[in-house]
Amino acid sequence: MYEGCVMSVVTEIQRAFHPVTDLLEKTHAVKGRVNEYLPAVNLPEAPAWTRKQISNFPQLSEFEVLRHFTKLSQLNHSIDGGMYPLGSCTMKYNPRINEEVAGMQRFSYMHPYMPEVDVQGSLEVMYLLQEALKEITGMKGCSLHPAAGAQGELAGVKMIRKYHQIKNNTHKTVILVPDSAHGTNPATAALSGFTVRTLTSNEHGIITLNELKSKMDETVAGLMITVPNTLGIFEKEIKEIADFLHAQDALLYCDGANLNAMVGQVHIYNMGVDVMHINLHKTFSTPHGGGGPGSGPVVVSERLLPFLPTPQVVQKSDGTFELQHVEQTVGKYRGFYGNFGMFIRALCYIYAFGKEKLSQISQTAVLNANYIKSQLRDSYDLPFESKTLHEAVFTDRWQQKTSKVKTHDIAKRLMDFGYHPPTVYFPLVVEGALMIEPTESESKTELDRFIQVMKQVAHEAKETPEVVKTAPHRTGIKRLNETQAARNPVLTWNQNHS
Amino acid sequence: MRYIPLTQKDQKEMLEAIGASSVEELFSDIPSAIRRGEMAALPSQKSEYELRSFFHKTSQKNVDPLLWKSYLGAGCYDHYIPSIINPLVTRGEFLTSYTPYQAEISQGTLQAIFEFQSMIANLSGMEVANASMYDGASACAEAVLMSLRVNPGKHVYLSKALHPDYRLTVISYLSDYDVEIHELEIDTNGQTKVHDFLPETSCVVIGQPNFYGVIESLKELEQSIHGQQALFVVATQEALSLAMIEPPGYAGADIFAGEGQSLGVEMNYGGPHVGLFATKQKYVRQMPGRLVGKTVDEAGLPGYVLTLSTREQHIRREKATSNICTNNALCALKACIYMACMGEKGLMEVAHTNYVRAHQLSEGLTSIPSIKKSYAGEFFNEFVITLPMEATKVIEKFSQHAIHPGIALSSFDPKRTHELLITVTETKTEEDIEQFVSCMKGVL
Repeated sequence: MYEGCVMSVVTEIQRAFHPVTDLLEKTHAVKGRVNEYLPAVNLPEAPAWTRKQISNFPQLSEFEVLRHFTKLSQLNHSIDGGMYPLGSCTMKYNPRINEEVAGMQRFSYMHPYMPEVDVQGSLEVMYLLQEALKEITGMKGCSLHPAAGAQGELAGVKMIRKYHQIKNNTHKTVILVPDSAHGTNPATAALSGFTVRTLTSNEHGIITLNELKSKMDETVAGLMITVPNTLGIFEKEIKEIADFLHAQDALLYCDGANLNAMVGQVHIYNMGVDVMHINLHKTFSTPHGGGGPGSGPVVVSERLLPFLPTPQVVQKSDGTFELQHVEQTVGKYRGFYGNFGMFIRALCYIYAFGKEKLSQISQTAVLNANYIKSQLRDSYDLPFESKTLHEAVFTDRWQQKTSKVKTHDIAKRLMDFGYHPPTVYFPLVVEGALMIEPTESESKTELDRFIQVMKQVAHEAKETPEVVKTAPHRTGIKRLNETQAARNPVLTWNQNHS
Repeated sequence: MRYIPLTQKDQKEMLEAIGASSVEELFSDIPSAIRRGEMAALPSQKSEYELRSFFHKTSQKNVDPLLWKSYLGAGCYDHYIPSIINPLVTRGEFLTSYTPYQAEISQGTLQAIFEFQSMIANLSGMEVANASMYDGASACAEAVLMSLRVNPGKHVYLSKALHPDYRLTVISYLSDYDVEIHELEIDTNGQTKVHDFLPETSCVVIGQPNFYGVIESLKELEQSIHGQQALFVVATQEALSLAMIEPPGYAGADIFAGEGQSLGVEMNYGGPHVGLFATKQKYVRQMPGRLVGKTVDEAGLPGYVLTLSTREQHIRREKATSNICTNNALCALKACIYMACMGEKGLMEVAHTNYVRAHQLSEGLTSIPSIKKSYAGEFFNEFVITLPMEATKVIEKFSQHAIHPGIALSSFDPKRTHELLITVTETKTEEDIEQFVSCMKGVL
């Protein structure tokens, strides 16, 4: 009954254009093609030492370039084009007013070394965002410096390290990380010289105080935990966990990846958190852009306030703003002051909701996720019965059992219906996980359509499993040979030629 | 709220389906002691009209960059950005897609990254490039971390003429490594001096052109560095220079790390920009960050996928080559389109124009008897002069003419009170340069 009803635009155009354009790769060193972006200048002859050519480099006309990239864009699925229920990634609508204000030349053309008196508007935007993020979380300090979530984690863990160094806690060398954590958590802890010790989630999918106690000793410097966790479950014992850690002079890092479930609902500071990074590209709607740029501000408790990345934006008594060096800082992790272009978009999103409506973000995201969960629980196995917030994690257990259809197959089949698959095989604590996060952006009509398609795929897995196992059928390109790509990497078109 | 489509009727139906009496009930796992409550310090909701006026009004507190003439550089450059770039990158299909993990429906982003990797490899003269890093400074730090994996050691040498933010970022990233960081002095030309390194040196990092704008003799440095079994890392803060100066790959660099903002990305008050990272084929499995590879699908058609991801954090966790999760894909796309529409010839011409304009200004200024060039070495588009008065005073005086004449080196080294770092790009005309010189004569 659903056959053919929802073929995506991506797939149709892919079919029409495939094999895709290789214009850039093939058009080199065209004589007589001129570039007139800038006024003609009579240049003296270049000095003898200058480079003579850039080999294998394109030489195209402007319209060819425009058409090439337009065609490429049409091969992408996007949140604008269709639902993107990718768990843990918070694929929400990216309002275009954000793009407009970030593109104002009086913001986007500012140079970071302009005298502060000439960039008061930019500094004010940064100050207002610092204040807004502090108010939303209840935390005591904020640095906008980190380039992305993972870099926010790095700065955060370095602050924990510095806190212990100053107290001469040289024996504290271990960071605890739950088994359900994102891969960046252990990778960051390792990059900061810590040893990672894993905490195990219980049968309800959470970390308990007892589990913490069983892994705790004096070498523990801190715990990195995601709230709500990657199963979408709120860590109910978080306050007790925080108090216990603090009693042993260990600190609490909260991974803010799932802040979308908590905006206006949870007082992060009162939860006992010492540092949290905030992914502006998730909760605050800055576009994912095909994989960045992100932005990962950190908010901190009093304990870590002296160590924030440098510099900070402060307001002086005369009302003007300045960049101030942080004396005991953990330093810099990138050039200049942060991804300003993302700050302005995030601030624009926060102000669009304002204090009255900001909590509608979490309310709606949580309602949508619970609705999907309630409608699909008869079609897919739910590994945990616990209450969940902004996402719903299912497994492929039933499909595997009846017809050996795997999560991977279900994901690929969804593409045939114009959907991006949910996050698959994550969190690692769930075998064959399918993690769905609808966000607050989708209408009920769209949610219902997605639910119908998910049911259809479950039905197919039972009745015509081959259809699912060999999906996608309607994308212009079929499953790609990833083994060949990794065994014999072709990473540039030069290698291609040889 | 205009970004939320659910009506009250929808909500009611959905709650009924869930079996909950209210939305509030869905949050009942959160103990009341840690509920947020009112966020009183936030402003009230703003309509789109109010948002536009608010940000417009705030932007007016910045000077108008189209009226002011800026000679600021130092890792962030005022280059011309062709009009086709922004309409293309703001197409929703690029702007609002995620990391291309699902290759079948992400071929656009994947192919664009492959093209970016190819052009960065060719521009830098290296064998392979990745999908991009956060920025130049963090790419430089990742290059040092990669050197420590490829060539483990106890010592790292950084040129004193490396961009200060790059140096500070390397120091922060390495703060928990058992590695000593040393600095290499520079000579009167402004070029880095190499000497005998300590045993167990992992790598040496050289800026090209360096922070003072001076072009380093990479080939000479390479002999000495490789002669002592250290890896040679070249960090570029001005990617456009690659279209004029012999690239690091030709001089035998092992790793190239750099800032690609010059290639079509706005200055954005310091970010987002785009980090460049390239190396030799033999080190590819030690690289940080994402890589796109070309392969075929089941029907034998060519296609692209993210590859070698077993290096990355989502697979290797604490054993990953880096904790990096994103690249700066949209900025890399801007750079990709910029390089495609400028082309080989256009890039080389723009680079040459930068060189010529910067030399015109340098000659004009040094014709003033009280001004000296701080370094004698050849430069690309920026240079340092020593003034007879404090550089900050000169900057103040120039502001009356709506000119940002350069960056006072005292911001980085309090002792260097009289030195000004000046950058000239293709956006400046001969008249602009004459105006600069006559303003300087007036100020002194």
